[in-house]
Parts: sequence; structure tokens; C-alpha cells
Amino acid sequence: MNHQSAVNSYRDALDLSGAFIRRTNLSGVNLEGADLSGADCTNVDFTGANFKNANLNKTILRGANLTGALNVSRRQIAEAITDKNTILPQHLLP
Amino acid sequence: MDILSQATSEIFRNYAFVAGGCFGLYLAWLRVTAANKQAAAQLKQTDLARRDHVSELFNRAVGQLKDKKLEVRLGAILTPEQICKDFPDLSGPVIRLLTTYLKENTVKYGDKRPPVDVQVITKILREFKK
Repeated sequence: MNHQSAVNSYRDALDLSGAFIRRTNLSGVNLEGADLSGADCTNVDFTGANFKNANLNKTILRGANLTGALNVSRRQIAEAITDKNTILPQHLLP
Repeated sequence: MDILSQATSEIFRNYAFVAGGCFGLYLAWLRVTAANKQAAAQLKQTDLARRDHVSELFNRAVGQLKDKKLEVRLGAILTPEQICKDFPDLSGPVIRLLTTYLKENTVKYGDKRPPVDVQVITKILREFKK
């Protein structure tokens, strides 16, 4: 069993609701369907992460870097708590 | 007449050789099949034994995740990571365990760098949840 198959084997959505994960690096992580509600993701690096159907209700995204993040919608961002330091993906920039 | 009976007996002898050869092949095939079955059973046994060992490692890791010493907690995080690599079908429980640890982790480190155990778990997530 090689490592690549290991990488591809975990398909369930992550549950990180309420987690305190400030300043962590979650770049490139597949957060499809993940529950990040109420999580403190201040200054988290989400570069290139996939947010398809992720629950961002009251997720603290202050200073978080979402450059190149995939499938993030305006609705998700509206539900989250952001500030002027939050770096949004290109398609959500005003 | 002698020539005819000699030829007939030679034909019978040749048939007997062929029949003997076929029977020998059949016995060899039976033996190979039995050996293959035995090897497969042994492999299964080894796999089961390894899984038992892995379950034990996993349970031990669960018990050590709340340890006060960082190095013990790190070991408890890195062992499941190895389980993920060796047994991809067990990566589900491992990832659930580690994310639960992140959720239940009560250490609020403010705006400082995350503790090493949190960093290692997020590294594992980057690796296994692409």
C-alpha cells in the first residue's frame, strides 16, 4: 500500500467546530463539508484549501489567508467573522 | 503374431506412461493448490496479528494524548500518523481522533505560535486530507 493511496483514503468531512487553531497552517487541505463553526481560525493559512459546503458559521477568520481558496462563497464569508486583515480569494475581492 | 502382440503391449505401456504422468501432474497440482491455500491463510493470519498490534498501538496512543509531557503526547500523535500510512483503511478513526484532540485541546495559546502537538496534527491533516 503506497503513501498516495493513504492520502486518498480519508474522505469523511472534518469536524473542527469550536476548535482553537490560531496561526496554524491548513493550506491545501480539503475542507469539503467540514464543520468549522465557532472555530477560532485567527491568522490561519488556508491558502488553496477547498471550502465546498464547509460550515463557516461564526468561524473567526480574522487575519486568515484564503488566497487561492476554492469554492468559498460570499454567503460563507458573510457567516464567518472576518476583519480587514482577512485575505479573501480573488473572486471575492470587491 | 508376436510382432502384433509386442506392438500392442508397447502401446499399452505408452498409455500407462501417459496415464501415470497425468496422475503425477494431478498430484502436483493438488499439492501446489494446498500450498497456495496454506500461504494465503498464513498471510491472513499475519495481517490479523498486525492489525491486533495496530489496535493496541492505537489504544495506547489514545490513552497518552492527555499526558502532561509534550514528548508523550507527540508520540501519541505520531504513532497514529504511521498507522495512517501503513493502514490507509484505518485513517478514518485516526483523523477523527486527532481532530477531536484539536477540538478538546483547552490550551489557549493566544497569538503565539501554536504548540508543537497542534502543529504536528495540522501537518498530518495537510498530508492526509488533500
